Amino acid sequence: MNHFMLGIGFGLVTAAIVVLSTVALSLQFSVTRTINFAHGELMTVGAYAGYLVAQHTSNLLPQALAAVAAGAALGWILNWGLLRPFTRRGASKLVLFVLTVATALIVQNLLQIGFGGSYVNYHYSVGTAYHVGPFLWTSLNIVTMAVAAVILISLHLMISRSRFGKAQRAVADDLMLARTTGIAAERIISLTWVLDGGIAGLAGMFLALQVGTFTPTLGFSYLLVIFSAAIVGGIGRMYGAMVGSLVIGIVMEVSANYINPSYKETMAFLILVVVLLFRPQGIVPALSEG
Amino acid sequence: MAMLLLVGIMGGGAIAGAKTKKGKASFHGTIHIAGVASLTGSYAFLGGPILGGTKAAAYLINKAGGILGKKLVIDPVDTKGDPADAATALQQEISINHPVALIGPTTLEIHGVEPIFTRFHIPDGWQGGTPAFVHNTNPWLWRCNPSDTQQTVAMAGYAVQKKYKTAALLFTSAPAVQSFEPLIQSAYTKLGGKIVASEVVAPGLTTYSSEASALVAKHPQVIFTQMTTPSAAVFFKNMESLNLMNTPFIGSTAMATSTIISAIGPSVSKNAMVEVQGSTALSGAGKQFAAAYKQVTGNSVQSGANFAYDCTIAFALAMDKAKSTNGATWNRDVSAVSNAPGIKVTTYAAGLADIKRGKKINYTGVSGPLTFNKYHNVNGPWSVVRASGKATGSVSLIKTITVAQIVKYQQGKTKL
Repeated sequence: MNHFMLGIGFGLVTAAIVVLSTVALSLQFSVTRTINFAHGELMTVGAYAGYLVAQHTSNLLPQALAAVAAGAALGWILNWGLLRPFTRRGASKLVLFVLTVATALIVQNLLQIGFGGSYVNYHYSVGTAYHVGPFLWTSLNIVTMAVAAVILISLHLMISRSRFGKAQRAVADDLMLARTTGIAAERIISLTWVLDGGIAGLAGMFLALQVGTFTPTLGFSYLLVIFSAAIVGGIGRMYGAMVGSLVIGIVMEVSANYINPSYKETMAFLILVVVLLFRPQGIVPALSEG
Repeated sequence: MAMLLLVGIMGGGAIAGAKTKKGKASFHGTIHIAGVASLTGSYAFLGGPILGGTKAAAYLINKAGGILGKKLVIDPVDTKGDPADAATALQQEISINHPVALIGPTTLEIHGVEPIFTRFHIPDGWQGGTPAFVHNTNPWLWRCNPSDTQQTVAMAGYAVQKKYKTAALLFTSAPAVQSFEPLIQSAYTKLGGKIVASEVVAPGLTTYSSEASALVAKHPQVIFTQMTTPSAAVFFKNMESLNLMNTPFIGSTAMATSTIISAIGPSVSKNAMVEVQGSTALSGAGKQFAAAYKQVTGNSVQSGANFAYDCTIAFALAMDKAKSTNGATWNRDVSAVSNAPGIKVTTYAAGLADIKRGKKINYTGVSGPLTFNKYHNVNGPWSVVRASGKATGSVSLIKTITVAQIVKYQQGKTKL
């Protein structure tokens, strides 16, 4: 069994989980220019929503729908109820950033009140392991990667082909100009938050399924990896986020075969440092999607 | 504010329990003992049993009339498994409730709280395993559970009994967990075993598939492990899904908690692993303890709770003997009520009665004899247990490794 290729295979699975959340983060940042430190909580509420539905049905589809709905709802609330009023009063980006940090802590504490601080078990039958070429994947791994692929293709089509995607790009390029050309920028921003929350919620559910047990800090604890992937690819660039996630995921898993595995997360941050040193704009150049 | 509310609710619960059994309150005042433990976060699986054992002891102490006529209230102090958080929480507790003793924390937080309880002269019934305190000289620190050094000897000894000649080590990269690694390596190789692989995994990752496949590729006959709950859940899930579960595991005490067994999956844990934990054979007043534990926590006895229970009872008896709740006064009486010679007592009520009659007592706990050496450390037998496979995460006893066997293994008299 070739451990290098196995590592690549496991890395693809890690990348699939990271990419969903990273792409959502990048898309939201490109349109709103707000650094959202509560992004992890969008994932966490998705995980808990999926967990709650799993108490009633083992069918993955309703669990996923609940996760999307919960994440989208929190994304909408975050924008509509918190960030938008401050933006209208001319709050600086720093103030908005601090607001998202506060939101993250509030959501974590609310979840802790509701579910307790202890771990909840969210198990899903992973099925048997399949040898796919040189890779070894479980059915859950394959479902996760397939869902990630479908979401990414859908996002690509939405951004490049749809009116909403074009409007998003316009807002991302120049908010004032977009407004003067008749684009309902506030609506586009609001919908982007909903989309961001929905995808992040779904990512949170798959993350929870992957780890099997989690607490209200689930998403928060993965925020650094997500930001690393986003920055490595080029923050605010959706395709960059895809490449960044792939690089981070594969490097983490492959490196575990050659170095002490406890340093594999450190490898992700090492790559981040190297990229910031030599290519601070990220490894993927700016494309038209913003 | 939330902490105050929590303290009030849980402290009130302990008192209410005593009132229910006694019919009406006959105490004059309250005294507080702080259960200093990780009650939330990654290490909550360690804190729950400590607090549960302490509360079970308080329940029985209050049922027997309290300490010097005062109700004992247990204050939960959440360390979150972090020394800095522990220090802050303990200082808050001391300024508000003035506890007369502490039970806990574990190795994780001891360096955060030790300077504080030493400064305030508050005796601490520590629940940590690190060998760093085997030659402890702090007069306020009492270790009521055997050290990790003994536990690793017991784990290695069990592997030798099963004739496992090669082993791999699997640990989470965390200070309290990693201190285990050199100890088990030393204990196992001393008995003739060979370590063929060692994996220290980072905590909190989404997958350990690479580490799992690399570990199994070295073909160990057994894997010694101690992991945090989330790491264990993911690792075993990866092992199971990749069909790599053919190698048996020997886990430490931490792996025998219901939290970690539930996270791994009771049936997975049952099939894959045995755990070596401080003996929960519940000698002496074990049944009374188990009933009290069930009464105050709603659960069956968790691994490690027996030591917290014994510590609390021994401290309470020391206060009774010294006729004082001042730590500086009763601290010297902990050994006096626990160590031989004396009338062997197994319950607080019996001990209190003998103390009142002016007798020298020798409290023998539910975890076995609580005989402190000059370093305030104890020895103890060890239990090899296996998950029962039930959803509650309970374990059942396979065999006991006696103190005499531990000594033999330590001296290298038994080899592969």
